[in-house]
Amino acid sequence: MSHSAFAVADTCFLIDWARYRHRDILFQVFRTVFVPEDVLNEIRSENTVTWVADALAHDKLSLYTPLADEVEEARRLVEESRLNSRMPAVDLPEALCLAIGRRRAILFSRRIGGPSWLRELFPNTRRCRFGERLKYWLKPSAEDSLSQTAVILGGVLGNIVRIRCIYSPRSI
Amino acid sequence: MQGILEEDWEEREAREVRRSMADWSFIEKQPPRIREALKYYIEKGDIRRAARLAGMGIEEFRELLRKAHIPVVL
Repeated sequence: MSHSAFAVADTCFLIDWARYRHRDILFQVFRTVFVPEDVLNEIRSENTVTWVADALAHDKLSLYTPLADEVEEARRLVEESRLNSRMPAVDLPEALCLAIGRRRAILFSRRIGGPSWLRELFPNTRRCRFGERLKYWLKPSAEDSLSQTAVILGGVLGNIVRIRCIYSPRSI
Repeated sequence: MQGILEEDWEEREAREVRRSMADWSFIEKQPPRIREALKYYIEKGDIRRAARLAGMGIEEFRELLRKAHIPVVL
């Protein structure tokens, strides 16, 4: 199985994913998952901190320091979210993930789904189901467990309903 | 009114799911600040802002959502 390149993770995804007993499957799909510093600052619980620290130590997670123009783009997203009634309000950590993900990586965010405002934000992206994305990258022998994984995610991660999709930005 | 009409149908659907699955008896028993934060989250789905309203961190608020049976709709 070959790794995909990178992903960027938002706080909400990490705190839920850290509870999943097969959480390290994430690192079979992506070589490195970037975590913006602002996101890291929001993580507090022992379980999540321990998992994140271990993954950082093994270069599976990587701290991401956003570029100045990415921060500026994130700030514009925050402002736009306040002005656009069809767009839910986003705060800076999540907006940073959106800005980074739009440029270079696959974005894992709890909020990512199929709203029209996201399709406008990611005009050149392909939507896919989270479970199907994992299946695509992992070995065929793991498909059966992945079918269960996609279903298990709904329960094990703690009352999460209907994992919809993630976006894959067009590479630059 | 225009803003409501423009609201994405998926956001409306997500709100309805949160409303219908929430444990309202648990929510109504909470202190005012927590109660209103939970209600805000049900309406808006914005965990960061709801957590700030509750005076909690995101992870702590996430635990509260589990106790309140309020689902996270993705």
